[in-house]
Amino acid sequence: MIVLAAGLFWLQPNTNQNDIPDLAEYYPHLKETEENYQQLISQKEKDINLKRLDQKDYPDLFDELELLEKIHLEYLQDVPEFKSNDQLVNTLIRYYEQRIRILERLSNEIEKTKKYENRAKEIAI
Amino acid sequence: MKIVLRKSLFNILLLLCATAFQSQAQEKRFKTIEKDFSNIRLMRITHRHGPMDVKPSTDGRVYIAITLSVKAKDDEDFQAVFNHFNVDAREQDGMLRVKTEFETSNWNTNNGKSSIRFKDGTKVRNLRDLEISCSLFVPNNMEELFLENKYDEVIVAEKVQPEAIRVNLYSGRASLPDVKDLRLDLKYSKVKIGSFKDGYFDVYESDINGGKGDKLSLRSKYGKHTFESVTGAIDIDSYEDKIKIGSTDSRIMIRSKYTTFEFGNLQDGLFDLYESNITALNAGNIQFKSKYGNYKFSDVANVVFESSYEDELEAQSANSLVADSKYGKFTFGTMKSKVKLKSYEDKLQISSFIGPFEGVEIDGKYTNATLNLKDGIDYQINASMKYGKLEYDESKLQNSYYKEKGDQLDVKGKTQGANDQSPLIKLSGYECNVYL
Repeated sequence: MIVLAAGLFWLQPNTNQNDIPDLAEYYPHLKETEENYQQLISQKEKDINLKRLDQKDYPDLFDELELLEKIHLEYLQDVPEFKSNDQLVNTLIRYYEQRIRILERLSNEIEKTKKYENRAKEIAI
Repeated sequence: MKIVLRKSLFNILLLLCATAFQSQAQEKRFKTIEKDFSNIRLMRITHRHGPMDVKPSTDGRVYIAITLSVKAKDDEDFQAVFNHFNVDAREQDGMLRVKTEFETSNWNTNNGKSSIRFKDGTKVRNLRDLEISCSLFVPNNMEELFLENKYDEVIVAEKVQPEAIRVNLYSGRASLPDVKDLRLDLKYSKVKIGSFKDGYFDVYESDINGGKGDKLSLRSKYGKHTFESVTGAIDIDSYEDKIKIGSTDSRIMIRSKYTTFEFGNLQDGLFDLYESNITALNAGNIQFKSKYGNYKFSDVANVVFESSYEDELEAQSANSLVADSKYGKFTFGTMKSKVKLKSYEDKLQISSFIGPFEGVEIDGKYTNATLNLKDGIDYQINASMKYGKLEYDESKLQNSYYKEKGDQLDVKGKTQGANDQSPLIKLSGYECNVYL
């Protein structure tokens, strides 16, 4: 039993840069929190049809998403060394909140574009 | 059966007591690495796994004391931990580079007990309260002090005063003294700073609480920043921040998206803003390029909107407004000299146009403008309006030309006290309502 527990302890998630691990791999107690966030993010991305949006229409917000991913990746690289640091854990959670915030901005911008286009149509009429 | 159960419970209790005793019995040991250097002009220190504090040295030398403290179960574990702790310090031509070395590949803490695997494969378990604290003593004649930490504090004492301090901080806290040249590179951090002469701050989701500044250059995203005052030039590139500056004494340039600004007194400004808010008391000449903004001033000198889209501006008093605007709302208590508005579906409301009057020019579509010209203001008028409404005191006009044909209205004339050099009200409107 002890041997098994020790074995599990040293069986650590992969931190290869090309293979970004889920937060829950390192922090099993955050599994539910992460899943909730991921669900929310997935829903928001679906709502705005993120994959089909033209990044050129909203360059700043796509830049923000890219920057956020880059910073999150930097922090994930630190997980093996600083795994138990509260500040790191808080920052890793902030990633999800921040991504949701940016997606909400994107949603607002899409609404503004629609409003702008409607106004342009009204003016044309 | 009962006896077996009792024996098992007894064994568990015994095991728990033994574990508790073992953890309590762990002693705390320290390993401190001390180094000192002389004639250091520039210093860069990269620290990890604990706080960093910087104090002044009194003899012109740099002293470094980095201490690893830990509780472990036996000598072997202490030795394993201490063997992997080192301080790399290299000095060349007055430049000192220091790095705390404690290279782990895995670090787990559960219920206060840490297990560490080092990069060479060595493993140590059941460690408690492991921390590496860094103390520096530096002379005040240093040119630059560069401090770097992650997930912990950087505290620099008030009396430490090198020419320049640079701080790179990830998810930490810092407290910094008054300094001439201050550069911050922050992510997810909170920093308290004293006064600074030249501040260059590059921050991401971090908060700065600052004193008085001379020059400020701020690149920020998702932050909250407060500065007591900034007397010199200000350059801000901001994205979704909250920024508060007590007062400014010099020109300010802002590029921002989704940011809320609060100023005390504001000097001349050049603003390129998107969905941003500004509140200020007295302001100088402000030039905007803006979309979806909301601006409130107590008193502003001259407002220019090079372009404006769905903005709202409110001022208790202003000298002039020049704007190229769509869907805007401009509200003034008093206006002194001039309004020049190229407009599409805007609302302009002036409670009292008090003079000295220099003129009004409105070229608009679907625009509502209420000017409330004060009695005694003399002017010439040249208005050409279609589907519109123009209200003015007809009894004041002399030599007037008035032609209303179908939906077209043309009015020309001047007030009784006006001459050919008097200020002109020029109106060109399509479905506009103008109340003089």
